[in-house]
Amino acid sequence: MNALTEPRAVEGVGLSDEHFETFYRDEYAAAARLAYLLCGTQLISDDIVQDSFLAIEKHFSGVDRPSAYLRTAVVRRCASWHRTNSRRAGLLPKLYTDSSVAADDSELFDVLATLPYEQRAALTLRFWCDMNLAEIADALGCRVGTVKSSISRGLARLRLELKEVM
Amino acid sequence: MGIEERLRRALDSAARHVDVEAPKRSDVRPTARVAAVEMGRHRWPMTIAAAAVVAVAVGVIATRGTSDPQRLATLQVAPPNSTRSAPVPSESTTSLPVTSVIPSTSVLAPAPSVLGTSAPATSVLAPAPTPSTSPSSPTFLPTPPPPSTDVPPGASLPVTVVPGGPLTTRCTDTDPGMYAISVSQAKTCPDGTSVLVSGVIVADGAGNRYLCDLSASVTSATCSAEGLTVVGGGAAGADGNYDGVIYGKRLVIGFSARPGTPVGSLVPIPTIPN
Repeated sequence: MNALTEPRAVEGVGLSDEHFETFYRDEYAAAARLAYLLCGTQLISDDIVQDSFLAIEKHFSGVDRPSAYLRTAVVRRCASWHRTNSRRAGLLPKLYTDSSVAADDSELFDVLATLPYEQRAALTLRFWCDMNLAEIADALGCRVGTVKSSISRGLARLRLELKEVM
Repeated sequence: MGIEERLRRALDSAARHVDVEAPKRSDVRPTARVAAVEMGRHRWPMTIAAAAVVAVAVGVIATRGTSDPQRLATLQVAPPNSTRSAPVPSESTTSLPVTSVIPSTSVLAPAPSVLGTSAPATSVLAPAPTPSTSPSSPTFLPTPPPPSTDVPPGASLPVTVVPGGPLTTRCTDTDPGMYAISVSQAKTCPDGTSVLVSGVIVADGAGNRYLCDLSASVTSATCSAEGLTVVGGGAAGADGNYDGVIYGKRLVIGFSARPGTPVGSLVPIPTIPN
């Protein structure tokens, strides 16, 4: 489940095209799942993941940690999509269709979908990818303190909306 | 069950709904947005080509209404390149020494003019008030000037390559595409040799420019990693991409040569089809 954070055989500088093929096969599933959890729609997440692989392919031979690079690319592209989507929702409310993750606990995901992207991403990276705070901060491009507050506020909001006992 | 555990299970459950069969790599295509960014790299050649087409069309329309046989004759015997919007400098297609090229970038800091000599290493590239070349916002770039292939003599942008280690850059502050990239392949070579390289130069908001990527060919394996001086940094494209050659301890951007050839054989890389 945290495939993107596990050490891989394909790590390091100076890798060949054959290594990229291996990297692509190994990492695609985890990247697709992460993008899906962050965006809530598989159509968009597939595009985001493929764009991310295309981006990393250009620099693959010079990237130290391709898995971390891929994860960061996915997270930030999802952030970009959320920004665009929120603008679209404001401009074209009648055409806007919200996305929702298909899950057993739909009640929780309904609340999760209402959280700001930073909180949703921080919670997903923390509790699905099992990433530590520094790794999350690196992926989100913010400070560790910001990650802490995002996780704390996100959990508080989930507890409040789901009437969880603290 | 606490909210953390419930969230963890819910995320696991949702992730299992994803069809994760990876498409064949050959089927992976950029989305329209990414494709547009890629197209932007060729904006100037396309603009010039479009201008040339318009100029030809205007010329044809203008000549249709005239009855001046002398003018028509002149147009018929004009050379094919007479419709170009700008003259083509002869340097762009001929071999010449780097030191003979006219300077085009006035912001470059002075440095020894003879290629191949050692240069002092400094921490970052000198500031250059150019339009942002950061790939983090390529879609909002203003129309850039055409990439120049001029390498000013006696001008340089100093940059440090940590001996044997990665080049310290601020690339992590920009775009995921500019993730900190080790340039351990970046080598300097003994005088009299040269290595073809390519990479990316980015600029921050303050106008500082950073060498973020430098990929050298396998022929650089015999060279040693020391301080590099970037010459002709203004020749990097609007998106920051550049091609160049390492000659001695100089990274000469916008020039090409077969590995191992002397500096006099460096030729400008033609970037704009006129």
